[in-house]
Amino acid sequence: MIPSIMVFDDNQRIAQEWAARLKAAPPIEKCFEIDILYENRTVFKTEIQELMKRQLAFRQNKTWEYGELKIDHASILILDYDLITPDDFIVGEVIAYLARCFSNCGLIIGVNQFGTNPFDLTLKGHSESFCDLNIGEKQLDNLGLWTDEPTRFRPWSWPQLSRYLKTIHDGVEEVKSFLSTPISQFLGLEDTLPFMPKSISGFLGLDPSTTTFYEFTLQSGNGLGRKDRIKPERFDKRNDLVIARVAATRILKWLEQMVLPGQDILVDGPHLVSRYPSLLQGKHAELKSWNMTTGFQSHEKIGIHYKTIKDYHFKKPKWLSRPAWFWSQVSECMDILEVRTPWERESVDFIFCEDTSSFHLRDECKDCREFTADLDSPFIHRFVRMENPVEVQYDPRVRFL
Amino acid sequence: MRQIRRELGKDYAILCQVLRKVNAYSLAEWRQELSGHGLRTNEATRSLYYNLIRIKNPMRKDELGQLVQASGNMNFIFENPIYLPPSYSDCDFIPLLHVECRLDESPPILNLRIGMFRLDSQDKIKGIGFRFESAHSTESHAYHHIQLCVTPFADENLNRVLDCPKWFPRSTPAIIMAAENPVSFILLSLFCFYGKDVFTMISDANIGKMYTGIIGSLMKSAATW
Repeated sequence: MIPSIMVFDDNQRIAQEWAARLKAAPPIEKCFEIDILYENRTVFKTEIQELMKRQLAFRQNKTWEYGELKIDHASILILDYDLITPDDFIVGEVIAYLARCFSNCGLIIGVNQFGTNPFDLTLKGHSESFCDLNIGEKQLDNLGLWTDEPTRFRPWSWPQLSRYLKTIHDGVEEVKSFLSTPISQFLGLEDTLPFMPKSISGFLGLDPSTTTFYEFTLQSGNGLGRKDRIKPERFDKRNDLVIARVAATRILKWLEQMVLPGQDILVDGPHLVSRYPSLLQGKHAELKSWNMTTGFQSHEKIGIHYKTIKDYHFKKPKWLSRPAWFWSQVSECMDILEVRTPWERESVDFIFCEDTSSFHLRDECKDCREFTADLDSPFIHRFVRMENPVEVQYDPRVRFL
Repeated sequence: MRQIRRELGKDYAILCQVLRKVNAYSLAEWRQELSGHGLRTNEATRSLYYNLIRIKNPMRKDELGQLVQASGNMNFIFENPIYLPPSYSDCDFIPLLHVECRLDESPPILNLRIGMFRLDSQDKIKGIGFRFESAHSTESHAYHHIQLCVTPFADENLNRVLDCPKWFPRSTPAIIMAAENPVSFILLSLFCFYGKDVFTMISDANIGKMYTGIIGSLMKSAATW
């Protein structure tokens, strides 16, 4: 079955415009069935009300049938945050929450919550949002978001959506069998979690090292909303799918947008070779060798000497959009030249830019700008290429050095 | 007439990069230590940290960048020190780093001052100071050197708290440093405290062998005895 993209906006003209833009991109159009979710405001309101009824049923420990609502069939839900519903006071985040918790939709993309063409210089992501990804409307049909095709502007924080859709689906399915397992144990983070900044580990709950998927969803405050939390002893297991879906998607987001960005707990390919160039396969003088590391394929296929660090890769690769390794272990591996004899480290002619997801020749980076990300990590100094500084909103600009 | 190296501008840029990364690393390490999950400090050292920051704030994440921007050509002086992480071997000591950079002068000046604070057996703060200085124009110290320093900081409050014994010698010994440029000067200075771990502090800095080679040479020559 072809996965579907459904565009959700209470303004039908905008919804149709966005759907048309996606259809006009052949690599997107050939892989997805694209449609707008609601033909008119009445249908829109009715489906929201049905989602709210499911919410009420959940609070009363009742169940419901999935598949009755159009939103249940959305593989990817594109949700405009700029809604005009003066009589309902429904905002985009509320719909994202309802869709995530009480529908069967797959990946949720929030649009325009933080600008129409934003690049976030804090690199912190938006963990509070129940969308899996937040972008601007001008970025919707950016092929770098949907395919492996390199584009001039493509934030490194973006997953590759065609792959990420499967990541979410597989994550939900896997978690169903592990709801009572501590999250840190499930992800192989037991040794790492105690050393994570509390701003990151605290997302899991009061006692991050023992919090299970159930407890995270029902008690942490980052799963279900306050009134939707049911005491575990009262919880009807027939609603385990709600728990699995919320837990899996929120933890996937936590890994992607809170754990990975600092590049000090887990480190991904381009940041790893920037620090340890000896791990790069291929000719170091060639740009393509460096850019191979920006791929989303498995760790054996991104041009890194993976065998040297095979014991340190993240043991749940399907839970991240890109290959990653445990930095504290890699940084102590004496098989790596830069660890053994750090004074032998070669200087690198290429810079990785967070807004293009690619390396660029240092000498051609005169307009590149260094900025300080707002992360609990020592690796806060990053670069952006800024190929289009007028169109793209690089915020907050005080972050530039 | 002293010849100014043409590469001094490039050295300066790398020097600032190194200091920024050392500061970012230090802030992250202290955050870890103060959360109780670090591997270096005990409760006494953490308590000392809280006492020290009441006297002088640690340099902020973006402070060095602002300092460099606001100051003149290759010329800045720290307002707040970098609170370096305790070394693993002397983890009772908290080293505070102060830097004075005047590479635009002739000869170029780069002075590091480090005060190492700790609590003694009566829980009183004590310490010792060091200064790492680039070559003076005077004959006696026309080489890069390290000396003890009784008052390493411009802030007299910090010096008073450091309480370095006044009878310490201030001129001798003047231990020679084999720094070839300002960057290797900084790296060698920090190497004295952290050994190879200094490279962990700057692992994402793009520094080539031009700056690190001297350390490699010294390590090799040490192995030949």
